[in-house]
Amino acid sequence: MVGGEEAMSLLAARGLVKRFGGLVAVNRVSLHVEAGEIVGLIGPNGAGKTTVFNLLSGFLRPDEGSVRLDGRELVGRRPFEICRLGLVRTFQIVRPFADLPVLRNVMVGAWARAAAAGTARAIAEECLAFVGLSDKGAVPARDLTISEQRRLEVARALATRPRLLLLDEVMAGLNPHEVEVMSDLLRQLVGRGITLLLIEHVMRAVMRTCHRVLVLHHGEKIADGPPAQVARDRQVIDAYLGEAALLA
Amino acid sequence: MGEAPAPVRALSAAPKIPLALGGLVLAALVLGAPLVATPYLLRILIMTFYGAYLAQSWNLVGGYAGQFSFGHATFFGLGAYATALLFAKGGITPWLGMLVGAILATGAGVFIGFLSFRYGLRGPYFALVTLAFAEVCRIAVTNWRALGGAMGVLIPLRQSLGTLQFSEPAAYYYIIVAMTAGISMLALVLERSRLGISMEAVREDVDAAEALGVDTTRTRLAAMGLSAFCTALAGTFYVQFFSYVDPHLAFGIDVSIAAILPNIIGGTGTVLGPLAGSAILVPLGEWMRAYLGGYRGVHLMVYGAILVVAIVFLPRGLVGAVRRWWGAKRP
Repeated sequence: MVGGEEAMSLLAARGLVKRFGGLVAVNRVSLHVEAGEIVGLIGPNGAGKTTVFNLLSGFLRPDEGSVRLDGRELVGRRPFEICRLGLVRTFQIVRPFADLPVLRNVMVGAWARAAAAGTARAIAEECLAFVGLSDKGAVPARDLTISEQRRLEVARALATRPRLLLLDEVMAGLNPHEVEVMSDLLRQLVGRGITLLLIEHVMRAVMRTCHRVLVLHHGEKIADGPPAQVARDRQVIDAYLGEAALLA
Repeated sequence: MGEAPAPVRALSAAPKIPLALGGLVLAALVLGAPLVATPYLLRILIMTFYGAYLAQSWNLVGGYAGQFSFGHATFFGLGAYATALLFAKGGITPWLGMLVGAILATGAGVFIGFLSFRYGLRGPYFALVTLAFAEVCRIAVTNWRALGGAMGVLIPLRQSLGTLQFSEPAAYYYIIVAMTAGISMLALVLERSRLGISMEAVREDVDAAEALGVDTTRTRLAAMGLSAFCTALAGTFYVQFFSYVDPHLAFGIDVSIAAILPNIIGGTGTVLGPLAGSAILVPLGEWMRAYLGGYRGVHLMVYGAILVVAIVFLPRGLVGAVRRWWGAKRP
């Protein structure tokens, strides 16, 4: 974890601090994500994971620190600008445009890049096909199952043609089979040249999918390394994983 | 390639030929109506289309973009007063007055929107801000003698195309039909455009839209401006048709309600909603007045009761109910 990361990283956050009143939700967190990586962000509830996502994607402004995407400063920009620069996030609680048909949901994202309706539609259809929702295009998003809504969330984000995708618990509420499908999907994303940073509680998926894992605890980063190494980290086990993780 | 994206909505799968035929018959009926209608009926038709136009104007921001304005009287009044004052006091043709009014209204709409969205006002708070602006306008004009004060402005009669005054009610009828057709076309084009889809995304979830690259502030301002512009033209039509305007008729809360109600009954955020809503509400209101008007206030009570029933049983309006029925009928 040393040397050259500032110059090369796709995403580099340094010294992020966010306070809510007296509570320090995120405390001097630095992290970097390299192009082509799948990085997991884990930690107990309330560790500040989603806050970090909000800081990176422009939904919250950090009190201190900087966020750079490919060397470009993101702090101070609005979320839609950050999206157009290539960093897109999904939400922990799915937020479909409930009344709109599925295809139209994805077209919202597609318009971030497209210059004409035909292009936007083509991009949207392609993204729907990728997540396996092609036959649901005309269905209002509210009528999808939770698993389908998670995939819609991914398709919408994908339609903006991101370079870095921030996924907030896309596996939450999925059954083991659906987790497999989603993990597969994520690996294919990387094959398309998209880098992933994901918050996840489904540890099996994290351990099998991620190249590297960051652990947050009480708003501070306590570990950063390959999954196998992090899983043996004493601090991490005490804070989050528990002894059972060693057996997995 | 002329390959417009096919409408994604549920009704798109309806058989094309009967629909086109129905459209033709409807167009013939609408265009031929003045030839056969009695003056009374023609007046009701004019008011129906006028109500549909006004409601469609509101629908652009209130329905599609989901920004529930309760103060469209501001824009209507600016259109009405700009037209009336410029003509009555300056002899300036309403053709120009209508443009001045529409531009003023657009400015007001963008300004109100900017203040509201900048400070994160949503939902009922936004509705209250818009209502407050309309009330401020009403009170200001009432107390401003140079603008006619509480007495309002009377339009000198001078019938010609240049003054947009006509002896034949049919002329007003065709004008308001054209305006309604025009704005409905605009709504249809909008539905297929980037702005339209962004407006719908903003309505459904502002944060999710923003995360997907939609400039949600600009989208809402554009919707406000567009809606305000169109609403001002309704004000101009009103002045030309009635030859009179006063602060309450222009800026009163009744105007804002008239802009909203057909949408509630017909269904917001759809092209047909405000048209259907007005086609029901205006004749119903007239009929109530005609048959129950003898008992003071009774027609308003019945009208109110019908509204309540409609809102309870058709929460998404007529169009929403039909769509659901249509969707349920097919596998």
